[in-house]
Amino acid sequence: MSDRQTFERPLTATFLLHCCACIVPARDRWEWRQEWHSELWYVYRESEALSAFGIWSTCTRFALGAVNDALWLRCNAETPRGFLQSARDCATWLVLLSACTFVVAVVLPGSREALTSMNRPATRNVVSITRAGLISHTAPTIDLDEYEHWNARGGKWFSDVAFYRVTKADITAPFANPAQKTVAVATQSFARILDLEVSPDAAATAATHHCGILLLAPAAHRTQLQPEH
Amino acid sequence: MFSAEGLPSGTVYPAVRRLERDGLIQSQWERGVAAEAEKRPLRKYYNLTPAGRTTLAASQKRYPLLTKLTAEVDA
Repeated sequence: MSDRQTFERPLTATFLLHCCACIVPARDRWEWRQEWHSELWYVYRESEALSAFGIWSTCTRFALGAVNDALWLRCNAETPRGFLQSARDCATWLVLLSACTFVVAVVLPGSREALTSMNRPATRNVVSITRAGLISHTAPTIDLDEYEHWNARGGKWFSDVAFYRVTKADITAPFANPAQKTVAVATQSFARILDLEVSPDAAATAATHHCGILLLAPAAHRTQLQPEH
Repeated sequence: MFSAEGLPSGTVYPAVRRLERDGLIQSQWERGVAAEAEKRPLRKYYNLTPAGRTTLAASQKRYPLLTKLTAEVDA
């Protein structure tokens, strides 16, 4: 009997068998289908003397038995499974892999800060513009003219444009010794884009004295500018 | 097979599979010529293996009532 050879069969029962075949392990599925469709054909032929409902009822009842059979095959696979060949193996492996990845992510230096900053709602819609092939954390990747160009014409693509440049600066604080620190000198829009809070007083003071505002991360403030306890 | 046994299909086929798994019966598809000539699907035939015959004999000895019932069904 070829696969394409078809015989008259009741639709509901045939549909049920097709559904149940999905439960059967793939390697047994073809033969399982052959067995059940063959049996269904004989059941159908034997019930032909019955009424239409009788035929439908007999065949459907027969096909419902396929659920038990398919489940039995699913639960009693004979051959030992190889690595990652069952849903349980895959799920276990994924959980282990996730746990290892999480541990690595926590242990790697700076990764926690990076992950935390990625979770900031403001950074989800931020893109960084650099010149092709140039990635640097210590030098500007576009020059000021290009920034001006983006600032003037980027309005139709971006809601705001900011520029920052990493440099060294002497930092003096009341309770700490003056020291040279790495800071990012940025335009005012930088804080706005990253949703960093700048107090109105500080902004007013900076505007009055034509000077900048120093924004510190809590960790930097705690470790570098506060007196030691 | 389902019609002959008179048991629900969901009972018969898993039982047959267990017997086959345990080596008590073996199955074989019939050749396609007869089925094609009669325009019907292929049949799958099940035979007792030597181990199956031994087990059957032991079961019949242990459960005589079952043997009697089986004989009535066959008749």
